[in-house]
Amino acid sequence: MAPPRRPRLPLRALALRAASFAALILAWAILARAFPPSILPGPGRVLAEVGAILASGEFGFHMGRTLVRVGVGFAVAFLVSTALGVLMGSWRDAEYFFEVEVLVGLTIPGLAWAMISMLWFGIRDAAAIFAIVIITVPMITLNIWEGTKALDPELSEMARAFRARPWLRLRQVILPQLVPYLLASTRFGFALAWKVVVLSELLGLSNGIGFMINQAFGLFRMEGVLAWTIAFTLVMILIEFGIVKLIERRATRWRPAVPVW
Amino acid sequence: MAGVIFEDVAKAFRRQDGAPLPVLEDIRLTAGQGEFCCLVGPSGCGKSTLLNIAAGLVAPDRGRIRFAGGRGAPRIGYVFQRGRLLNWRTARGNLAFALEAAGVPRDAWPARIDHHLRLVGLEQFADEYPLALSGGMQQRVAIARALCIEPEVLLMDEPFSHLDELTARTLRREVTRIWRETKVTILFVTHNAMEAAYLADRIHLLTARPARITRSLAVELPRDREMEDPKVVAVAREVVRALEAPAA
Repeated sequence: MAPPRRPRLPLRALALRAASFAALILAWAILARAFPPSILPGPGRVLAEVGAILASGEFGFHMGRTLVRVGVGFAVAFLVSTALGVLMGSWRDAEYFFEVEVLVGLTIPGLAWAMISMLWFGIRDAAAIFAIVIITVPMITLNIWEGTKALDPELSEMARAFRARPWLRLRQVILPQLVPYLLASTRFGFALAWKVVVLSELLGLSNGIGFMINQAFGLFRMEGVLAWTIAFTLVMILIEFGIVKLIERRATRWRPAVPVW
Repeated sequence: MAGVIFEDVAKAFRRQDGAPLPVLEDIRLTAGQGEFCCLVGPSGCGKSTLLNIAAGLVAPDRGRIRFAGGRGAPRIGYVFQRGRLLNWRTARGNLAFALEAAGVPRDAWPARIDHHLRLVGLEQFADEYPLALSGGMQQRVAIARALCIEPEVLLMDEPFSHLDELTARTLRREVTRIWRETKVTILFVTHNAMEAAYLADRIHLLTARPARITRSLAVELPRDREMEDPKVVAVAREVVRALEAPAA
């Protein structure tokens, strides 16, 4: 019999994460003493600024716009990449053909794409969304493609022996095996998408987190730059722990906890 | 229930370097409807390939396979050496997968799943995931999965070879009991002569690769056999002697 599954939300994990946070803030406070506030303001001033932008509703508005762009961009990228990755893993011809696009896509710098996107789409949400899609698709596709190559042939054989049709095989045999790759891709892809969207907003959009960071920077307000960055990071963390981790737990609850060493 | 007939089946695979690897040659075999047929041969002789051809997973190079009785292509249940369960679905879910694949209407599922899990003694573990179950229990889920689609032919590829003897004995008894109840045609591959003597109506002996059928023995012992029964042992001895004898 396998050992019991991991317990949910252990206090220990929470305490360790809290301690990690506290350590970061402490390190920051110590470092800030060595620099003037125009270069590195201390946690106190910055957190006060965070409070201000949260209270004023400004944050809500800009975060909302950024979230929509990331949400749509990531969703499209995820669907396209999964389909493409599975395709490449399933058919040699597809692999040979799309390998080129994937590798080319990976090497073109994100900044170049963001600028090209702005030229093509103008100062619109579409520019940010396109940039996100074009930059994250090669990376996620590669990941899923690798996952497809690692699929268990014995399970595929079993599914064929029971005459399962392709759609059923995809849903219940293939995708569940790709879960670790899908999760990793989601985290990488999301992280990349955030960076791309902030870049696009910085380059030419008129609202969003990137825009506000740029604005604060232009006014030499370091607290502003850090405050917007931190508030934004907090939302990202909430999404990771609130959504992605929840999905992960649900998708892997069948796995017994096995010690690595 | 369908009978399975192999007509002059031959199959070769390709080695890494491209040279052909003949695995099966001139296979002529008939498993009657409702018959419990054991295929015995040394490891690696191509017994699994035989089953895969019967399952339609592999096409023979020559000859063909026919099914007698039943209508059209029969429903086939397959039990592999190692469970090959979907680890991310519960025992219940694994049976549901087979039922969905077989096109059984959804409202029939609960009854079938409960019945077949009870048949293999696992009704208490219906909502457990495979990795929380022992090897023997996983094989039982695999057996329940193969049976819940109510197959006309049951293919079993050394299903107990990775289990301890006690568990294997229990499962052999259960499979025999289930076979007597359902009268499904069984093709059971094993390298264990005693197991074949205990289970089979008829034993087909295969040579080493490329495999041919050298002999077919009818086992006319009454059911409720005991592994240690001298008559069963005698059959096993005959099998081993025939396998060890140089090819005629």
